Amino acid sequence: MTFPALRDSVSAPWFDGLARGVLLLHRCRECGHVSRPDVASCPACRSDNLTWVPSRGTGCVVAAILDPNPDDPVVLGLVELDEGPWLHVRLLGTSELVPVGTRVTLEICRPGGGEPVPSFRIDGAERT
Amino acid sequence: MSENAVMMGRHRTAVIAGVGLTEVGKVYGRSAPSFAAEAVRRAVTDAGLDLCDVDGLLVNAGKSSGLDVTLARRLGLRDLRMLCEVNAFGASAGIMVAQAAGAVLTGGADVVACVFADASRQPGASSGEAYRRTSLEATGFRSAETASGFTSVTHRYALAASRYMQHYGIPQEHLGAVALSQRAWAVDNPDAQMRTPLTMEDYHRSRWIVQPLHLLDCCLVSNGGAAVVVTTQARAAVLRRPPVHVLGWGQAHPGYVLERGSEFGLVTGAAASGAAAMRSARAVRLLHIHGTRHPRGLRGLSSR
Repeated sequence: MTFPALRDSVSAPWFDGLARGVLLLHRCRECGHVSRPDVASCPACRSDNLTWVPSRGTGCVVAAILDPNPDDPVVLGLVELDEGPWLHVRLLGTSELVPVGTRVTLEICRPGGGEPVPSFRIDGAERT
Repeated sequence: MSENAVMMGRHRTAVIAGVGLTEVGKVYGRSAPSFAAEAVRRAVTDAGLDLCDVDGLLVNAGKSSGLDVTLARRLGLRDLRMLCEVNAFGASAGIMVAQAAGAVLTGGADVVACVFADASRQPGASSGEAYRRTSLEATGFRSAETASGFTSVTHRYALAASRYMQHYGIPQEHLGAVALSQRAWAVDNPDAQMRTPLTMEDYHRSRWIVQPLHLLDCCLVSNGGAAVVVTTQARAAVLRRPPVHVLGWGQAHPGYVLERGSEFGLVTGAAASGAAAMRSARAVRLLHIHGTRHPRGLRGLSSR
């Protein structure tokens, strides 16, 4: 069973970015720190003067889990983007847990016909 | 904390004077407020007090709806000096006792009932379903994670467990050892629900909920209610039960940022809160670590 992503006013620019094929992150205008899209203040300096910047869409796996749900078995994980932030995402191109440090690349999906969400494909894995 | 320790050591302490537990488990057809009312009544009776003596009520609701401060009216409580809901998720029970102890020591209230109750488990439904709703109601950024497959809190615990196990090289058997030891305690506890002894083979055979968490790594989801009555040592001296002294408490929430260098999954607040709580304890012979998934217990233990 899939649960479509739903935008709200705060996340609208981020979902719009994904619809254009771009994963947006927050960058602090005060200190330059790049952080997750859902922060309300900069984790480095607590400023709320944040702007959006595009991610390169590359990173590595920090931790992976496997949901063996027979209807929809999925590998999920925390991915560390090369810019620094960690995202909770689906890992594509594997049906097993992958080692920490495995390189991954952004691939945007639309689960359940909802808003687009960032997923990451294991580098070198073929598309199925 | 140090002022607390001085006050408790030299003058008086807060005590738990009574305990009330309803039937717990797959108990259907009753609401959380109904369980809560029974638990409070039982705890007050156990203490040798009357509901009229209660002047403080702390309420911790589980996942089901309906349990809130209106419990006071349901119980006919009047002239309360302390009444609120407490929600610190899994830490709520300890925090209610700490807040009640602080209140009775500083004169904010004299007899405080602390209660938790839940009736989120439905007949025929899995345990997971009871805890899934909050994840699925997400909108905005969080809903992108739900849509990706993070549909329950167990997925997030599994992620923390995965990181903890990989970082410290913890084998699955170590999680199994926690399950086995908890079951061993339950075997001798007449109030426990699962009392069949467990082997490591049983642990490994139990199905994956979200790998690396087996079924036997996860807590039961139970309907029922539990309450304690917190009062002063002086008040408890004339009551029917030997009081359990609340010698110290501590709260710590180190927090983490989800970015490079994060300690997500690796640390808990236990190192700081445990030290604060034990400042006035002379010798600790029994340590209970609460965690709804076993890796949390291991993390709490290794934080010391």
